Amino acid sequence: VTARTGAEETTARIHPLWHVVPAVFVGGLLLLGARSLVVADSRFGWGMFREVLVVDVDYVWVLEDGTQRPHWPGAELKGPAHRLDGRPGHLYGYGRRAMRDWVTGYVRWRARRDPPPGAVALRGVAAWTVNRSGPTWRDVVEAPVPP
Amino acid sequence: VSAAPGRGLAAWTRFWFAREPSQRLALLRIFFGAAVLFQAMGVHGLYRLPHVRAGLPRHFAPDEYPLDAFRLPWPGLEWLPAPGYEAYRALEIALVPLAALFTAGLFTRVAGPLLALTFAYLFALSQLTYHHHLFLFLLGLLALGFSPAGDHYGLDAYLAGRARPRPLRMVLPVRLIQVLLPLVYLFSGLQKLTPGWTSGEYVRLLGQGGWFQGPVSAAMLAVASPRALGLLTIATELLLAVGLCVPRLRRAALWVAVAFHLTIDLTMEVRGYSWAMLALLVAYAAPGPPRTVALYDGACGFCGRSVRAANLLDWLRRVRWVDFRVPGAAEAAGGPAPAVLEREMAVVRSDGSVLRGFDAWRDLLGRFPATFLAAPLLRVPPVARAGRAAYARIAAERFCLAGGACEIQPPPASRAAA
Repeated sequence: VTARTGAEETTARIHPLWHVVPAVFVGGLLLLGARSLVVADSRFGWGMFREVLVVDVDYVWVLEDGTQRPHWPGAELKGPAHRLDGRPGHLYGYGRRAMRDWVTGYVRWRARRDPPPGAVALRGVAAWTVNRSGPTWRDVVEAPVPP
Repeated sequence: VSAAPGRGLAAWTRFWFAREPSQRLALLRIFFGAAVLFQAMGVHGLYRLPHVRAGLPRHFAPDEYPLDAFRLPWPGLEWLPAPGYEAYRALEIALVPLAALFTAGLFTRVAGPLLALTFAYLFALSQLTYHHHLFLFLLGLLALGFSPAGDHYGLDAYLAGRARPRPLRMVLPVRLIQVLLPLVYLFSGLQKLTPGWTSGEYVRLLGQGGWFQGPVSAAMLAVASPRALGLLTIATELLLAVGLCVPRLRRAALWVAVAFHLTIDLTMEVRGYSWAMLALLVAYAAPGPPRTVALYDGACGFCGRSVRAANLLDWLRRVRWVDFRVPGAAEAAGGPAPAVLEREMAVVRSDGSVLRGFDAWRDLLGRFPATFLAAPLLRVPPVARAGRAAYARIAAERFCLAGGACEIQPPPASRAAA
């Protein structure tokens, strides 16, 4: 018979799966925080007020013949999504990568809904200035229109 | 060397899975539940407190419903069904009674998980509605909502009666919160190590953008430069990340954290973030056997009532009350002689130091969760002078204050025998 310490008694009562809970919790927080620092996406990384982007997004339908036709979002952009509506000067606080995800998500979603005749892709051109006074960045994302 | 992994596993297990009395967990439930309740009712922002109106039931207009158009699901969660407006509104409103039940400790084992799951579902529906404070609420609810947080200080505990067993509980939920907070401060501080913050430019932009609110912010901006505020914010967050992890620094770190979040909430619109962080700081309240002994006069009815009142405030049971008239009790506790205790009560602290009279009460009030924030006011010199004078007078007339015949009651035989 071996006398057990308090810690061993605790171990004996704990199902092994319990150990996954703190490992996932702490590991997840560390990974998300590190990711947030690396990819300029402060979501899940506690980047409170890291930077403010002044965002201006323009959209064009790319037609079969190579010409372009402007696209103006409508009522489908409600609430927080209004920052994607193409009007200049919207403020966004969660980082460049997060904004790019939003624009990408929108053009993919919109390209599948009622594209104009002959359209092969919807393109979003996002321009943003960091903290109002920084350089202007430009990012282009494109989603094909499904056949 | 071969024993090192075993020791490491034992330390890991002790840290996360040791069992302890669950008063601290219950306090977390109350404070964090209240923060969730205020969040669900749209009550936040100390800077606008006089103008806050709670919505009961919460007003939720159709144009606030974001899911009938482009909703941008999280990767991997596209399968989650989006509720219609009425169902979404019902879920938003349901957060209020669920949070109220959880805070009050009524049907805790049902209300807690339901609250956490409802909140998680609403959070997971769309990337577009992400906010840091909502993520903080979600993590807090996942840690606390499924825990046995209703053993103390709640209606479940009250209705079950005193005879109900209150087993030791796993410390895991409290530890998750204790690890969460330093990581929030750490990453928040690291993310601000940018030229915009260290030069103060970003604080200036926040000011120009109308982010600072309320009268306190105007005074703050008049006193401190944007650069100083930026550097102070970064330093505070990084120091809190370290201070909360180091036992010697924890007490000071807790005070800094309270001041930090109160300042933020008095000057900026951060929704429920500050209140949630303040509530979660309760995770650092130290439980355990009472190491502070208070020596009081058991022959005085007024003193007995004072002890009962103090016990109502001592939620973590950190103080043990001892009647100095029991022979040998004061000596055993390391307190002053009974002749001294005839004049004033005394507190023997864990380090063996002794405080008497008003100073003793001030020390006790600084230990109670309900009063520790106000206790420092008793250190203001005029307040302390008035307090000592009032205490001396009350102590001298305590037998008359009891409503009796101004005589010392003989100690009961049982007490003397003990």
